[in-house]
Amino acid sequence: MRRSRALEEPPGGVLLWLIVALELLTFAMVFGVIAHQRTGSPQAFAEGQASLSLPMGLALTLALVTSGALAAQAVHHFREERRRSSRRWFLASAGVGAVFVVLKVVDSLNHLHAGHRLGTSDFWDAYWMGTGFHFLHVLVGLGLLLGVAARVDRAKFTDEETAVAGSALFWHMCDVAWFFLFPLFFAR
Amino acid sequence: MRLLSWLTLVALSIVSVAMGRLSVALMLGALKAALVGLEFMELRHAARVHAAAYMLFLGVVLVALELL
Repeated sequence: MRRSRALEEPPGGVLLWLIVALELLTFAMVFGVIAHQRTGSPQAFAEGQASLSLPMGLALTLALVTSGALAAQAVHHFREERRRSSRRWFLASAGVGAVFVVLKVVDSLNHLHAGHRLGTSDFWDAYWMGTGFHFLHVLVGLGLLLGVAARVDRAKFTDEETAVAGSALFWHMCDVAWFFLFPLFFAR
Repeated sequence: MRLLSWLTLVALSIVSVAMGRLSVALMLGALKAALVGLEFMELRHAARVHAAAYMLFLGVVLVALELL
């Protein structure tokens, strides 16, 4: 599977880039809403941020960037026709992605037990909306990674670029969205 | 290059947490997003207009969030 510099052949395929572009635009609107709420309710944000764990935020970020790097490695191996090792990299990427999911679930349960629910304050409304929307994308991305890992060295894809590089592209979009969500909630 | 990108992303993430200021953290976030786009999303191997559009998007988001 060769890379192309052609305008009509972006890495990951046109379809996935259209989806990713629409998703990023939607995320951008979510960022705007969160930033607006942050400005409008500084007190609620200061109180909410005091309940967040910075080490947990960093661990979540590191899990995502590590998983993304492993997915990029998987695509690289696939492009070099090393399908078996590509499968292993995809599985490793999904494994580290699953660590993000577990950490996020644990973190969310801790917040719920502490009474930080939707409707508690503007901060928690924004937090659950922003991170929940992101989490749904992570689950879809994880499913795509596992789906590709299951088939990459066993089946022939109709459109390899979209199936393999496109799935990784969607996963990287989750990284990009998190890079803006993280400071909006964790930075003072 | 992918290993170097990952190490840079890890370092920038740690710096972002250590600095703690919103404007700096947003800038570092945009920088990380640019790195992921160019290296992991393979935009540096794509048509230049794709990379340019992606960078423009990041720039607009960054400026909008800094202004809000």
